[in-house]
Amino acid sequence: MIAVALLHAIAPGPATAAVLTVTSADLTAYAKTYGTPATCTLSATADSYVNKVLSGTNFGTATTLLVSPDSTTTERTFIRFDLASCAPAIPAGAIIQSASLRLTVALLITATRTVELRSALASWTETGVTWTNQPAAASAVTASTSVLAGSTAGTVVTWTATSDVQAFVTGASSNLGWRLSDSAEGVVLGPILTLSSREASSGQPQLVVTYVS
Amino acid sequence: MTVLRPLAIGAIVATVVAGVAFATSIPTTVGTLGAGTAAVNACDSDGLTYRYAVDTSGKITTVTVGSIALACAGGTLRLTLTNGTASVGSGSIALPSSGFSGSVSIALSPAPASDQVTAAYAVIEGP
Repeated sequence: MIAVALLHAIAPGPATAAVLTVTSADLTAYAKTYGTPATCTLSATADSYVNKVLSGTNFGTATTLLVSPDSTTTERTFIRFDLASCAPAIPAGAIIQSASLRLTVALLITATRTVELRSALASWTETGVTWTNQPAAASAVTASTSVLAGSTAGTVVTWTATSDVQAFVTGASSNLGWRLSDSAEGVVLGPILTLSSREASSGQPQLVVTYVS
Repeated sequence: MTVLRPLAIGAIVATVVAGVAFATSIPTTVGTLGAGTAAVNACDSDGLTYRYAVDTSGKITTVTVGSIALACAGGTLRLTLTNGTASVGSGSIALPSSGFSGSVSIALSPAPASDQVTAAYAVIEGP
């Protein structure tokens, strides 16, 4: 009996706890899960180059695209892709994981040059753009790539355009294509970078976009 | 009987000792335990839209969240991006009490690489 009395005195009784306070608030919660990445490879819908000394001439049907820093015959390339032609279509709410502009060297590169990619700020047409009427380009460089001396025909050169493509997809900026130009225009007797255009028989420009939605 | 009595006493003592040892490990705080239900109200019921901005290094700097019901004005929107297992970027913003358009841009910290994000979680607290 003594033992039983002691057990009653010290054994744990029903569980006890401190005061539990639950504060409610108005809450709205959503979860958005993104699926497996999809990749879309696009061909250019328009490309051309412009030449400073031939300021009124259009080169939209040429099989090459030229970039040159030469002070007299400065050359710039314009190129555009239709993102709406991706299948399945890239929704405005997609996250662009990567976007790479791929151009192929058409003639041996004789000097290493840095070529800058900028978004075009006005509309242009493949068969109408010239040095005189070329669209302005963004002051901010989207991507800068060194094209190495000794690069032979068939070498693929890439520029990362993820930020621009994301902006095109969301509508934050209009897809008016890009301008490629040498980072140091104004050089005397500057070399020419020759790339394949969409009219070439091989090595046509591509834009490879990977996204999730 | 003379043999059993010491055994019985020993068993009782052992039980008491065991009971003491067990009892000292139990919290003895006295309080109250309550339970109940409370309604949680949502100011938006038809989902949100997301628009991402990526910088030239491939990082998501801001997310514009749209289609927010005007009833959420005055609340706080918290957004978290994850890679499936952990948060990779988050941000929050107070939804204006007046002049709210139903869309806000949230700066992320840290800014995650766009190829890391697998999910977005949005919570609006209040108003």
